[in-house]
Amino acid sequence: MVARYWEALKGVKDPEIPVLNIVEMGMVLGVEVEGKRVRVRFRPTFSGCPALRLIREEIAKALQAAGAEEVEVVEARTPWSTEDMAPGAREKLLGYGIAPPLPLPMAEASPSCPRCGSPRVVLKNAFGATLCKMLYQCQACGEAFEAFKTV
Amino acid sequence: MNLDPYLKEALLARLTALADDEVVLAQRLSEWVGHAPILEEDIAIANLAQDELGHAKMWLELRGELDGSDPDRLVFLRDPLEYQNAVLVELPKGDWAFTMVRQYLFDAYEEMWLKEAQKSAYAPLAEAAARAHREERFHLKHSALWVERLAQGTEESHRRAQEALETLFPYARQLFQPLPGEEALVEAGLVPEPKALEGAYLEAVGGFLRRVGLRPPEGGYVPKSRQEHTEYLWSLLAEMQSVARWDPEAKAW
Repeated sequence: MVARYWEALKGVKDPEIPVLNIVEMGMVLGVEVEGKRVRVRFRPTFSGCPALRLIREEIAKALQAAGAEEVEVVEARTPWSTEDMAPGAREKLLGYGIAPPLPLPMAEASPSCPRCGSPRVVLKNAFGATLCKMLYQCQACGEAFEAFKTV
Repeated sequence: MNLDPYLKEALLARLTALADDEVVLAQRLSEWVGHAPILEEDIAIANLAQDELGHAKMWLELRGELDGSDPDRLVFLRDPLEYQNAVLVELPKGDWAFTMVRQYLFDAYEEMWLKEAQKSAYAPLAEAAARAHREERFHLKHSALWVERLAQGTEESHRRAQEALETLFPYARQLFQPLPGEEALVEAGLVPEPKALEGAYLEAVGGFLRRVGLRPPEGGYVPKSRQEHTEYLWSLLAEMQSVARWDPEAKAW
């Protein structure tokens, strides 16, 4: 039964990065089942994330669709790191045109261009359209692109 | 962890001060949205405001776990005299130099406080500090770069940055004033020792400012208590709270 609910949670997308679901993002910390009651512990990526309310609603909807009658969503304070993303998440981001986060020890380095792969990029803005992204421009192909912050 | 009543009371006061600094600063930052000098900065400053609000929410949730208070009510329905923010964050946004110098002074303090607070014996606080610290790293980098740029840009930008520093520097020192009863919290290992942090702060921040060519002023008036406010807090809260006071049910969008 637990597996079924985990499967359902994989259907909940991160609204700001629709190619990844909240399980791949490493946001779900645990699922406990007691009969038809399901309790989910999840953590936000960034604490000021404006999508939290929406994500909570989507979690409840997905679990109810999978058969849960009562859903409790608990927000944990456990810090989130880009190291907690599932294997394969980086490739999906790259395919979506977002430079994936770097391994944590390389947090200060610049990412390569997701379009042409060139390492010749310049930081345009340490802040982007959402809290989790920065803005770069590639010097080789000229592409302006978003990069996931390494945290 | 079971807290003695006097520790609990002191911790509630510290959490409220932390949250109020973030809420008021976020409101000042958001005044730039749509008005920042360039588009990139408009985006950046909205991000900063959003992060600070996220942290305020975290501190108020910690408080709520201790006393059952509701974060929304505290933010939107408390009167100015009950706000426990430092004067630094309530001063009007001024020009871009004033905003960026203030942000740098606040970010440098916050970065240090959060780093130390990760060692708190109160696990929920240590956890929250660890989370916020990861996000603050980007703030300090950004505001330090701006202070350097303004200090070394043109004669005009240098003059404005120095002027802002003259006004703001004494107020930044208020951030290190211990709150009533805080010694007990420090002794119990729950929060960092403010005066010890101040020494490290003056050295690091003073060093940075001098390296970029600015002169941190000596002396100046340092508010002694967080009950002290300027008239600017009234208009800030009046605007920020207007919707909630008009319609308390206007919660979601």
